[in-house]
Amino acid sequence: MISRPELTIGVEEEYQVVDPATRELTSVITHFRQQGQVEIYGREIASELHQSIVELGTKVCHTVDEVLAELRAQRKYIRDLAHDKGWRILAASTHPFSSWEAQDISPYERYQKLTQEYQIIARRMLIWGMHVHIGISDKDFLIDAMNITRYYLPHVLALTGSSPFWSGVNTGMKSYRTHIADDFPRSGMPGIFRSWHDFDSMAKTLIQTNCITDTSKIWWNLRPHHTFPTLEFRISDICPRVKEGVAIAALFQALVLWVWKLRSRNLSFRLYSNDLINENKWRASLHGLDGHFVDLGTRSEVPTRTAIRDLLAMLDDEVGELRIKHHIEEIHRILESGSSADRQVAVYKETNDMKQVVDHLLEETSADLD
Amino acid sequence: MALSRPSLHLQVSEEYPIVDRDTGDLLGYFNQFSDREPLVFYDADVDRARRPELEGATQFLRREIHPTLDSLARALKRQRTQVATHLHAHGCRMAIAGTHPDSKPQQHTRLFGWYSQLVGEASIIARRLQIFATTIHIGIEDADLALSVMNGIRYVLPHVLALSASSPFWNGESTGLKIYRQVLRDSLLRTNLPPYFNGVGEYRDYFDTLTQSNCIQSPEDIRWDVRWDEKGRALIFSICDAITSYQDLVPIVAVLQGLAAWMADLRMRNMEFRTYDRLLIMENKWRAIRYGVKGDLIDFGKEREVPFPRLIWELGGLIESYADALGTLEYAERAFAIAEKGSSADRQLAVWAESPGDVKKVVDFIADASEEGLS
Repeated sequence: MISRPELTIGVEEEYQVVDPATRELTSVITHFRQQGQVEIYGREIASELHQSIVELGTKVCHTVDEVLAELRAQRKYIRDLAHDKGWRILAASTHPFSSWEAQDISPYERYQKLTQEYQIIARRMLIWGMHVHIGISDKDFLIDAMNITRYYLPHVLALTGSSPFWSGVNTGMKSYRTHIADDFPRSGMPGIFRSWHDFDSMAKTLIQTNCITDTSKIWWNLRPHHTFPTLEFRISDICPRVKEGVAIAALFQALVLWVWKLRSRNLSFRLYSNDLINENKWRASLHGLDGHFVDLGTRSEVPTRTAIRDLLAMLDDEVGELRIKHHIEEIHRILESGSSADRQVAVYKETNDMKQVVDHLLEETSADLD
Repeated sequence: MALSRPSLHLQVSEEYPIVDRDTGDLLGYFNQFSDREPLVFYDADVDRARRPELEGATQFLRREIHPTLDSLARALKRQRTQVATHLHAHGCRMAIAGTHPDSKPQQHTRLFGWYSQLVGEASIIARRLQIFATTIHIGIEDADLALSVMNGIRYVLPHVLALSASSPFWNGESTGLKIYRQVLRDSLLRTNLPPYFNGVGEYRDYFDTLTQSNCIQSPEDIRWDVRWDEKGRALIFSICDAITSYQDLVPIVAVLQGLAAWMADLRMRNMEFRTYDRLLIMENKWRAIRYGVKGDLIDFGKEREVPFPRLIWELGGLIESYADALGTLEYAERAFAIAEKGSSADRQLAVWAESPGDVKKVVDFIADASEEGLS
């Protein structure tokens, strides 16, 4: 019998480290790590490809309230640590104007190897994300949940867009990060798998033919984690406002519960190919909340905000059962007032100054942490 | 209704980047696509100054369907010779490659048809599209047969891509890849390898969904690496970088035509090439992008890595009888030599290694190679 998934939650956030005088990114990771075992609540500060990226993750949380407390503590911790060294921390998926050509690659073996293998694609990867893990120990159900929840990933991308700028250019998009990330092989949407065995067989073929050493080199928007018993959602741009990121984690938790409840009634959700779902992902990255999505069931266009409100209405029972209504309210606020990308572009239009955009992001990242 | 054998007729649409002979700077390009102007300049001032001189060359660009490879080869040779001669007379040259070594992504790029509709206000995506391709049409009139060939031939598109590699540079720097054009192109929607279609019904259903939901206006809005053109009754291959040398171009077309003939024949005999998940084929496509003809591709039948030259000779064995029947064997064999001597990308990188940082030398090499084999 398939038991109800644990629905535990873990969130990894990647932060930018900037120089407060120039507002440029600054290469810092080796400074943090030279302190030895820098620990926060059992988790080490992790390095990423570029030295100006620091990653922290929460412990395994059992409720969304716990996630909020963890993320607040985590952000305060890294903010204070950076302050001590004269730097600032911000959460957004691209830096408004620092260029990738000017950044240092982390000196650790994993990243040097990645750069050697993926060349310009790796060097350009100056992007930040938020990964949400939902605990599902039954592997076959995890694949079910992965297949079905793909349909709603564009909805989340539209809500979280926070990368409208790239190297000092207003890209005209809400999530330019998506386009940089998807240049990598084994990125983008996962395919449909018939079972865990099907996924495992594909992974073994890739390992046996020297394409990957392990499944950590699969960078899909949604994947079974290679070591944790979790489904890892990697679609989101990172939200500068801590409560918005937490609301997204709550949404994923409710979605997985919804899939499980369907499954326990012998129901499923129609599985669409990536060739169709990518139409909505493209629209989300380009227009954010202001465009239209394709409702693949009715083959018609609907305003993106309507599509997301429909999703929230669909999850009403699960939201009630999980007692996360107060977190989901934050998503309604995003729908009313816009995403981070909308706010960043508004600041830029008002000031014509990218530094002001950085200041805006610094403020939002550190707000509401107490 | 009985399946009819495909005509395998041929048509090639080329793009010719135009460079200033003295500086090597990229000025614009000629192209043979029906939805674009045949001559495009990037800069309005250059347009005003150069268009009167260069526009005359557009009369040489012909979109003709050829019943045989010999006929196509003669036409392409004539076309390249005429355009090159015209450009020379006005201080320019064609430097045919997937990217110009000093492509300036900040340079204004005009967009046409599908592209402008797709990216809308996203100017940064438009700027990334300063890329050039050689597009090959092969006549397969029957829809079922065309889709069967399309499903099977996806597996060998990375092999063909590697042979055409000509875009290792971008913005004056070596990208570390052999084919950067494909990375830029695949970031667009409805590009890359097509999905597997289980028959014409499923194929039409996909189009109907996109059309009814206002995603596309016509099938031309789909730009996969290979797609079936129902109107033209042909498979259109957009996988290749702009192929630098005429001496490589015709052989690569011969290989693709031989592969199509083989896959069509399999279907006529109630067989088909084993279907592999797109995810696995993508691994080979990545290897082609990264290493070109100098790497190992995976033989997924045997689940092992094989050096590209060996794999391409094996492929040659599979299509030999078809190429022989089409009278193209001599051409096809020359394609396999590319694997030995290196692609355009390898030769460009060799020039760069001899004179690091000298973009002009690489441009001169490409321009010289673009005129190889012409009269």
